[in-house]
Amino acid sequence: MSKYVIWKDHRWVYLLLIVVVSWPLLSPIGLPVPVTPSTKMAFDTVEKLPPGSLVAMSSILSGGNWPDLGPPEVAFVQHLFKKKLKIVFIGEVDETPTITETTLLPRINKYGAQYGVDYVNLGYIAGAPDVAEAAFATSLRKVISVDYVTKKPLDDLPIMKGVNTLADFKLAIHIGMAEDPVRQFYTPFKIPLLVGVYGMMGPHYIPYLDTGQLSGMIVGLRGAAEYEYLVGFVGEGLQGADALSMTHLLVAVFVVLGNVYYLYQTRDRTRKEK
Amino acid sequence: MSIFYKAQVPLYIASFLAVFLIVEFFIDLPILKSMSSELQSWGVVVAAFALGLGVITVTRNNYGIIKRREGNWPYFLWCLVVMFVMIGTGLIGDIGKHPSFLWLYNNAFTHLSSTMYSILAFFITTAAYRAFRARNVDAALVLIAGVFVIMTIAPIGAVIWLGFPTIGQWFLDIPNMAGMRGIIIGIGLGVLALGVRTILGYERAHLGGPGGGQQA
Repeated sequence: MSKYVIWKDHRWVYLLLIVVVSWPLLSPIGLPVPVTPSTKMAFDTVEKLPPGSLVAMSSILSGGNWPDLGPPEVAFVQHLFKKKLKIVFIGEVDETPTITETTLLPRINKYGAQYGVDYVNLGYIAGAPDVAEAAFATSLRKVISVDYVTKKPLDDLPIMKGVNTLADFKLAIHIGMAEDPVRQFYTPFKIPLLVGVYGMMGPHYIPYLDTGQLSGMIVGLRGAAEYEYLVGFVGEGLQGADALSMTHLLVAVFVVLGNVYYLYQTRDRTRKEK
Repeated sequence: MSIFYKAQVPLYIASFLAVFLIVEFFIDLPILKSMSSELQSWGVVVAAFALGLGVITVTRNNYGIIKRREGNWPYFLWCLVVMFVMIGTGLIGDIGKHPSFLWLYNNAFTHLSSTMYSILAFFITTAAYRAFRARNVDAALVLIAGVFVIMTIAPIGAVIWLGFPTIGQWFLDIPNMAGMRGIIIGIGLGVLALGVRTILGYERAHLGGPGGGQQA
């Protein structure tokens, strides 16, 4: 039997993985994406806000984590613009302000929103995660004097008039991990907090939803696909949902086959020993 | 420099600031809030300086390896070249916005970073069938839960059988939540104990160097 076991040579597994990822991307299957409760909670929280409400959007987005964190942030930002909410972008990684301007915002329909009036990019705050978030939340004017794009003083930007702490925001969204914004945003200010997290970290943060410390959560590419469906646009989430399905299915199939082979080997060894 | 200045002074500063921030969190006095806010903005400045320190450390370490012609030294040289090219182009004109910097960032850095992250898919696929082996009852239970959760996360799971998301969600909401709550509470208590030890000067690992790193 062992001569038929292709996974002994990893190159066959890699080849198969490339095929199952590429095939649905080139020829989408259009599998349904059921919406999970955490994504629906996040969507409903944004929906409840009246137009013009101020939203803090902090992020650790970078080139490296874009495949998992980019689509959730795109989905959130697209929804915020569609709802005519005002967005203040903050970067907690040095490249976040750059990737926000070069990669994130160009793929968003801004519904006529104006820079400085409806949204602003305040750039990078060093000391991620806790130091940066605490400084932004409690004394943002002490750590940021001008915005990232136009280099104008904060007082010259209509969106920043009267904004001094996180208490002046109606909602905080964080893309990255969930523990630090719970500590620095939710606990001191008690404003609703949404997060977009890595796919592998989703199960870890479920207790925070149950306690109400998180008002909703988008989990990786899958969560982004659900959110895109709710908002009504097709982004990387829905485009990648089929590929995600096929790779997960491949992993599950290999786990089952691996165990069948393991069982066969164990019995074979026992038989030979007898 | 004496051991007092290298280990004791930083220890006293850390202890004082930690106690001050704890007191400020629980006592709502405007003067304390104002001082705490000032301290937190200092934290950002210190962290920003740490970035510069990182550049100096990388340069010194890599230069030493290149000078001694240690194994794989051309890679360390390439690392320095790329770092200084990115820093150099980034500092031209309006910081981080020069076309040459943006071209490198968008066409090289972003794609290389995404590729490094995406390579995980290959490792996970080959690791999954080797790690998830039903060697005993406990491992079999983990295996069953794992397969159900995988098929819950993959949209195709519900298409194959509606029971996959139902059972998988139960695994996530009940046993997973119970386990994670335990872990989170455990981490919280551990951090609290570590904080108290640091404030009292028993924990010195964060000081490093001679006199530091020794736990009382």
